[in-house]
Amino acid sequence: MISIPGLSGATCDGYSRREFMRLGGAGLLGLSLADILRLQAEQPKTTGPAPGQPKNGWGSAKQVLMIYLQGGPSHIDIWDPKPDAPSNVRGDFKPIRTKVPGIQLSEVMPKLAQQIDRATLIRSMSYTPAGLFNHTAAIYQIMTGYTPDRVSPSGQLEPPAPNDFPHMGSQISRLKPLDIPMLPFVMLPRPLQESNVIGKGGTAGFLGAAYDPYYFYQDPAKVINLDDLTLRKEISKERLDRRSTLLKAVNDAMPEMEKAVEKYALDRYYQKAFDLVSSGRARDAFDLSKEKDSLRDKYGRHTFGQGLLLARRLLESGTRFVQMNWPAVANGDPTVDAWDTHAANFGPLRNLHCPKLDSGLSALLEDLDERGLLKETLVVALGEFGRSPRLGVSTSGNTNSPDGRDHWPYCYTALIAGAGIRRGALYGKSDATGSSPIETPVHPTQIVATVYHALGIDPHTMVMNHLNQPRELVQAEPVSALFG
Amino acid sequence: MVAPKVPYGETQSIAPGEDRREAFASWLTSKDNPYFAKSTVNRFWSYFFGRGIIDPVDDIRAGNPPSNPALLDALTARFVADGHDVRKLIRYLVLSRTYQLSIVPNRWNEDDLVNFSHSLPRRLSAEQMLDSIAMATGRPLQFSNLPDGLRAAQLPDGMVAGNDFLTLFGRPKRQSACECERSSNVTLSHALNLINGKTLGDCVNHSDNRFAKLVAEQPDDLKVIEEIYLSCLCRLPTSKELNSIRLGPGAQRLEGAQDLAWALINSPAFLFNR
Repeated sequence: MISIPGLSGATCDGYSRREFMRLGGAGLLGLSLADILRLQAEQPKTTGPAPGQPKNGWGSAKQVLMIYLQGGPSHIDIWDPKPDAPSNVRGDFKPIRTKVPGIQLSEVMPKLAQQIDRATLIRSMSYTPAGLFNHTAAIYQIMTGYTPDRVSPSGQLEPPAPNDFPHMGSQISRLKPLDIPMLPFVMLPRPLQESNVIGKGGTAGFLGAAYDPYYFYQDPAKVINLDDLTLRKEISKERLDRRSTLLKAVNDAMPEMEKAVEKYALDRYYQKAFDLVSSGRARDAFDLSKEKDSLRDKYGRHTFGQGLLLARRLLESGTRFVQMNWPAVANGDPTVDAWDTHAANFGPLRNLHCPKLDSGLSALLEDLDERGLLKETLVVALGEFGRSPRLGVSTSGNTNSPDGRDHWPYCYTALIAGAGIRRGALYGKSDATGSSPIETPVHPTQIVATVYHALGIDPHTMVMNHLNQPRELVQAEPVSALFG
Repeated sequence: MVAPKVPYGETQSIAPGEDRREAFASWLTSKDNPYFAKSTVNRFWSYFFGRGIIDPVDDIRAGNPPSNPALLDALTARFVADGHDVRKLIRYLVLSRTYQLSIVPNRWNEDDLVNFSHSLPRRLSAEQMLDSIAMATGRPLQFSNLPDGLRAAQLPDGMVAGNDFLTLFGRPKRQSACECERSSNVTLSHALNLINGKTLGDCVNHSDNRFAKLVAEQPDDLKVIEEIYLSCLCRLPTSKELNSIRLGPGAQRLEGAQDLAWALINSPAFLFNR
């Protein structure tokens, strides 16, 4: 019943609608808000789901790994092959059997075929955009749970703004703060991006920069620079300890000042920052040289593979939410690295993109599971949409060559695994051409709701926006049937 | 062509050749415009008291009334009568009894956060903080392609100049017209930056800063400590503070001075306006 209030120093605290009701009622019983807050602080941190919310899967995850395939990979050519469809739909690739009878993948995903028994494929992802909806608007939706309020007629967006709706990882870092000296929310290895709009949907928006992810925008397949997490050369660990003691003494001499700024929780942040710098925990997590060469090879010696290995190290060190973005501009060049295959859908997928996706994803699922991390880590891999079943047609106002596929939000696939998600399962079904779901459609905002639900956060929890207006975390219900 | 008009106001007649921006400006600042003066007064009040009489200051509407309507009306009337003179307004605000109130509440007003019964500490803005660090340590700032010694508060445009420190501490990029674009919270990243970051680290440890000179020129440790308190907190240490701090012998003396300055700058007494 009770959600977790944010830090008392935060600008806005999260209460569910029901709690607003309860707070109102409690006033009649002679309890002040301060009493309620104190009572809340004494409550165990996780109870059950709110009344009317599903129990299945509630609180099953401690951590989240979002593998975000910006650009919109073709569902038919990767996850949901349609061998019986006409040639202008089924494309060049053949389906292959997987370890799970009844599940077929495209032939370009042979390694994942051997690991798919650890995951569920949702083949009925679907939404109908309001007007033209290019990459950024769709990215914003899956990251924040909300549609952007201003979209130009071409579907383009404005850059990130302080009144944006927060990324779910920011909400989660605030509602479920870490109690260990580790970075709560990390985004790597490059920003979300469409053309010159960089980072939209990837910020803490109205929660304030405090809750922005730690942006680690370096290529993990190369040498990594970790200056800000490494002690300055003139400061030994002993000197840092002395400084910490001195700061405490200086502050203790000004108790009225300390009391006046109590709500900013400075002590807490400083203690965490001291621990973070001196423990070296975060710095070590970024050190890929501590991994065996054979495992690094298995993930793949490329940005995507090494990024996923880094993601696993971060999760192991306690990071609550890791987001690994596909390392290419969403609408970049499909013949180089982008999923946005308006042209040349097949060659690059077969030779460039899919081998990376296949090695990274399969190695990750196996590695997480063997280490026991998959039990409490929810892994989601998806893009902002799928691609048009028919080759060479225009669905987004873009031009497409005969071997290209356009944007297709009406039906696509997401991979989801861990934290009690059913293993080796399919959820939802697409029609004969992969054009629309024929059962249990799943809206991307429901994925957001499922993430909150799995972490034991009521998706309908209220947060205050920049104008102190209450907003639900997301206006969607979790898909509890995904959990076994 | 649609004739130019202003929201909720009379349509202006603009002669051919006349600048429409001038017509707009004179409408905006007219004594008959009830919104401009009220909003401006409220905004300036929030700069000095950490909170608007209507709060948030960008949310002026019937459903969000002022905490003290009489106060806001009186200030608005005075501002209009003074010909929208901002300097006079600021002078009036900072000379008020309310502005002199301490951050220490008493038992009857400690729960009050909206009636200005005691002062509320505000975290220094990004520019104030950077300028204060430069001032306290005696290290003038350097921004690329701008004259040395320019203060952060003098930077011409949020979109062009600046540095990572200013961005982290919430200097707005001026992408929106909302006061909320500026953030003034405290976060893990801020603490991390002040503890281990380049900006404060370089200023405190520089071989040509206030503390290096002080330690070289002043043989008396107590005087050094006093000077450091003065430069960082604008006050002398209490006798208790003075007695509890030692700089250390020989080569450790400079380290001790740097560490004390670092600690004072990291204390809420420095980081907050109060």
